Amino acid sequence: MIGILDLKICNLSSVSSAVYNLGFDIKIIKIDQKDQLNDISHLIIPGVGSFSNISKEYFENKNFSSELDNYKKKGKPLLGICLGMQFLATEGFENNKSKGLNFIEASVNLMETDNTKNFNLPHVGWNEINILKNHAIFDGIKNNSNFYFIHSYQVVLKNNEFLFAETKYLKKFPSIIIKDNVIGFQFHPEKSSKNGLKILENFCRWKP
Amino acid sequence: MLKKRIIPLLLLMDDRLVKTVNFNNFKDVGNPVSSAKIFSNSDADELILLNINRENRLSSSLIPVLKEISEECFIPISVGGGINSFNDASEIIKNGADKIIINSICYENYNFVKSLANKLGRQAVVASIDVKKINNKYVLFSNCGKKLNQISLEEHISKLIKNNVGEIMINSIDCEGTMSGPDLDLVMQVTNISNVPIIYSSGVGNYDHIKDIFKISEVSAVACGSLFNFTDSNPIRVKSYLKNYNINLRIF
Repeated sequence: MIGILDLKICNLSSVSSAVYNLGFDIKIIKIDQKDQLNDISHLIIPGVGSFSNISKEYFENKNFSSELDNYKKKGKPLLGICLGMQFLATEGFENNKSKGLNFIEASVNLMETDNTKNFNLPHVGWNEINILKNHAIFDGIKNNSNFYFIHSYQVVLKNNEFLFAETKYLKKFPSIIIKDNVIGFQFHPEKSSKNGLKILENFCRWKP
Repeated sequence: MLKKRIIPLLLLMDDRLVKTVNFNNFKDVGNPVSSAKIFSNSDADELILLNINRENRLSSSLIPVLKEISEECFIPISVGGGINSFNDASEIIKNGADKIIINSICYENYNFVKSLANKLGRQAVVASIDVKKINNKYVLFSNCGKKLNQISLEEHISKLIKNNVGEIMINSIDCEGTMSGPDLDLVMQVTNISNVPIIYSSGVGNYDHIKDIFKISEVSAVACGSLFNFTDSNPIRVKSYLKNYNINLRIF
């Protein structure tokens, strides 16, 4: 069973429909309730909104954060999507400086652009991912495949060892980061048509 | 580099898919959910759903169809037609839309564009503009092409951009549904004055029309209704044709 974390700040319906359509059972995990992570095999943190909001909502629920730390320590797979990926980092600078999960050492900063017509923020639309290292998550995904992005902030890794795919929008930024059992996608697989469903299915079948 | 987009345009009348010519002559063209699924499986980059029902302008009437489509189609969905409050917009987003398309309300209240962009993020706000050529000048219409507005195209676009609109969709009432070719002057004019992405729709009847639009201007997307509803065309075929002309599209 695939858990989808409900942080109460965003719409889960597209992610849950996508996972459900791939043939997996889903469970919506409520952040303010106890003992919900025991019966799930994989957990997804979707995210639309701002880093400071997600941080506030998350750290207000102390019980849940210790449950999630436990879940991660057990080596069970965890996927952060878009803001969910950014929240895996140590800290973020959207609105004000706020704490992240610190599952992957990194910070989250505003993307660099030149504000021309071609490189405006947010970075919205279909763009390619350049795969840098092999991983089970790329099964059936060609290099330079297109995914749907929508974001203005990006992850800045402390250590490039965890960089698995990057994308170029004026400059290169991390589009997939992986550390042990933790994965982050900067794009939205649930909006990325066939490639998106395939990579989401790879995650749901992944045994780290 | 971002890819240029091919977008099927779905006009809705209650729960049916329809097609018009010059904003009139409604023709039933089928079930919107089945059509959306076919488009999404044939490499459409996005879907646009517009409520064009003249009697029922309530945007809530779109929700059942939107909900079904968003449960089956895993590409971005933009929705418009009759949206004139934050509540309407947020209901539409909750039911699976990624972007909100607004039109008539913009002329009455440019601030609405700004407040919507603040609350949803500017990427989620698309302003649609309907124009008609009168005495060789572009005149802007709202309320399903019925109300003439005094403001010029340039001024309207600059006000939309000042108020943080994310994208602009431009429709020619003269070309709409005719399949006889796009208004290339209009495309050029609009792309020259706008620094936000432009979606052009109206008049596309074959692949060369789409090629011309992309070649002549920096348009970000072309939306087609009749081409996909009345011919055996689909986005896959459009893209394999355009590939020959070095247009930067999402092929895989």
